[in-house]
Amino acid sequence: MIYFDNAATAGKRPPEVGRAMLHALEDISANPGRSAHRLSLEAARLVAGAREALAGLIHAPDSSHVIMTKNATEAINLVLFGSLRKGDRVLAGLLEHNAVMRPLRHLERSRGVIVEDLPGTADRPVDLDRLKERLGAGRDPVRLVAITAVSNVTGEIMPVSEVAALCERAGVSVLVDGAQGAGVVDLDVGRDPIDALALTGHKGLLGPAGTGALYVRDPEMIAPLLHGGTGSSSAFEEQPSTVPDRYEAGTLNIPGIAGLRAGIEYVMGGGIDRPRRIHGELLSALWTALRGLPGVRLFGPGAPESQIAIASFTVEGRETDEIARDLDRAGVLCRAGLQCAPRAHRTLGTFASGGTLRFSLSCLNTRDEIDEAIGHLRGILRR
Amino acid sequence: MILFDSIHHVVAAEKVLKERGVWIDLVPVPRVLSADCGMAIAFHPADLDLVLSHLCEAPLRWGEIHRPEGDGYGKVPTR
Repeated sequence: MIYFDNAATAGKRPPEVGRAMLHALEDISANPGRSAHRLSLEAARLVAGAREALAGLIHAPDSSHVIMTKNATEAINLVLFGSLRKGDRVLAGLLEHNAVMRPLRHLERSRGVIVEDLPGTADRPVDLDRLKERLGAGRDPVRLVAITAVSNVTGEIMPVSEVAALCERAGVSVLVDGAQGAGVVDLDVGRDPIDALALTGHKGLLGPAGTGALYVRDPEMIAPLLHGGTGSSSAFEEQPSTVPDRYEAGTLNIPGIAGLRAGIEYVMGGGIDRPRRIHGELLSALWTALRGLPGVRLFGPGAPESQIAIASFTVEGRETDEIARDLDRAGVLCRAGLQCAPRAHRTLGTFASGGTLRFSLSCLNTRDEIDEAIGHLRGILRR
Repeated sequence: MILFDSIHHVVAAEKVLKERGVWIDLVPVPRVLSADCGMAIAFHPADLDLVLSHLCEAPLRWGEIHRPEGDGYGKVPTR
């Protein structure tokens, strides 16, 4: 079986991830911060270690500003619901996932938040000159820019550093959806003035599903999404103000967090350059092979410096869902359709035709798998 | 004994102080000091300045500092 659906969730994980989860489940089954016994303390050390690993991954100077969530979607909701008020204006990137767009559309209706398109086109999803102009315009001031680090549809890497710099200059907050970027591209909140960065554990970081995090530069910026027990400030019925407790009501996913830490340590063992290089090599091989097939139309820049190992494509005269079904029968697992990003497909012009076929690879995929998958695809397209 | 508002800061402080060779002990927060269910860091009173100087170097937040006095504890003014 060849798994090319890693943008949905990682298909393979290093054995260290499962081992760390089992160890947490069997040997450290206690609740951090709730009790004063040794296992509770050990669980707290485990969580703190994972928080340090996440802070190291994104170069966050203070790991207490890294909030554990169940995924990037929760992290994004925390920022949007916790900070936006009536009349606040948000610029949303043209390739945003529904993890950003659905909360924004809900807030449009329920709170009167105003959502605008971030200036750009399909070929250049972020037009920095026009963005600078928009942010500097005297009218209709922007409160927040929401942008993905990497498109889940095309794999295109967005100019996050440049966007964050423009936003800072204009006094505008920036939220980065790092779901597809974490563990593949360099996300650096120490270098870039990013106000909030949402991460998920189960994609490029090769951790388990049900894990994620939010980095927030200024915790005063957001109100908690959940209220409840934290183990701290127990005498009070109000949510504590201390980070990270303020945003982590309820018991954390300790086995998941243990697995996430192991995944980060595996992926980042040789620094971000290693997964970046592997993605570049896989993308080049994939792109070259797909371009050689008749009727294939690829979306995205296709260059390793501006795209991770994702190929989103259509085939002239063929339905992508039928191709995906035939590939599944041949043992190649991929995803057809809108990939939860109708906005991105509207931008690319593929919405009306039902989206694209997406091959999304991880740093654990191989050139041989690409060759085999392309062989199957070639055979299917001949029929 | 130094108290914290969050177990995150307890274990982060533990790491910093142990790495710098300061003798510490993690102990349950005495009920007379706080109703919290968590841990505090105990250290030798003579190390107070050393402990504070190390903690100030790290992105950590801590609360009150107490020392044993008679049958109970007395708050140590630090800031």
